[in-house]
Amino acid sequence: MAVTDDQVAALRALLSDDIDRYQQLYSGLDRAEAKTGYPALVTAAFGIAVERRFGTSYQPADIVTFVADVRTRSDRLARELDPDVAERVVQAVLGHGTARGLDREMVTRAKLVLLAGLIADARLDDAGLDEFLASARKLADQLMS
Amino acid sequence: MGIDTTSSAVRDDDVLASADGDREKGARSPADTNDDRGPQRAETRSREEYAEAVRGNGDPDGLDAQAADSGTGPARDVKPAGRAVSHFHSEFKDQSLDLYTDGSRWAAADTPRTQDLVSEKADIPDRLPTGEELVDSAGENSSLLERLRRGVYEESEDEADSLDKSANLAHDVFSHPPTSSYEATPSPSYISAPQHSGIDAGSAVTALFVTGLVIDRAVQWAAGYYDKHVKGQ
Repeated sequence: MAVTDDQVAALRALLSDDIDRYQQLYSGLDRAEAKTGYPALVTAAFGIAVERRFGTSYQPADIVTFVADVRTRSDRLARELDPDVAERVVQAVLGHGTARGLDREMVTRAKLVLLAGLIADARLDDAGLDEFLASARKLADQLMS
Repeated sequence: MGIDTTSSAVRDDDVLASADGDREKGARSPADTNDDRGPQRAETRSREEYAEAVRGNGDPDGLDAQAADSGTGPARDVKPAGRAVSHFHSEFKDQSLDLYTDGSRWAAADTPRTQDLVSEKADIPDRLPTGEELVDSAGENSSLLERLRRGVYEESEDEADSLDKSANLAHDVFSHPPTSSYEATPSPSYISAPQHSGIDAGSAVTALFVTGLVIDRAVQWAAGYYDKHVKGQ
């Protein structure tokens, strides 16, 4: 099973801060396909975004600063985004440790919220977002194979 | 270990049994070669025989696997380069062993050992990495796909629902600009518009009270002024 165009469109709407369109597109997704394809797409997109943001020459403090910055953007984010889980998820993408064993829902939430934070900070234009999602889709297909 | 080298063809019936001869006989001890000639001798040749062989051939050993074929005629198939090696041990008596091509190569004595080839010592770090660090660095060097599989990605049917629930939370990230990140665009200074003036009930009562008080004072002042000046006249 591969990532579908509809799943990419739904994530694109979310990362474009078009929540209404996202909800419309997400509700129209095939449930069975979305259960595997959409999480893989989000994970792949998150991985690529983390790698592009932090690369190889980063300091642990950079991750702490980024997570803290995302949490300060709203009271709800400060409440619901666990900083420890968020930092460990980023570290795991960069090859340090693993997020396995952590609460799955917390990890999933951290991935999506941090992905939104990374994309918001990157200020991608339409072409940049399309290119980014194309890379994420390719990686997601490999992830599921 | 008795390994004897041969270099030239020698025809010598008294020489140690030839390789072929020994093969026919099976592995036999050196002494066995003299079975037909009397009691066993530790040395197969006497000093005189040895000296004669030296004078005749210039080769004191007189052992050549090629010449040992029949003991007569010139040596055949003598390798021009390299020296065949015959073994002196009874089990391998005079068998030619090419130590360089038999599969299990032995290092020649004159072959420089690998440690001798190193001109200088490699740099050894002061602190060797711990096991945990080695595991971590291995992860760092692996591909993104492997890192995601190992650390973050887990196939779960509930994950799609969790992602949908978190969508509104992700929306918050866009709704509120970053506070300290360098990507943040500084917001322009904001001057608030003047508030619309309005009057509520409390303010109206206060205004009426103050107005009444002022009027009362004014009336009293006027009455006093009248009494003092008009009546006084």
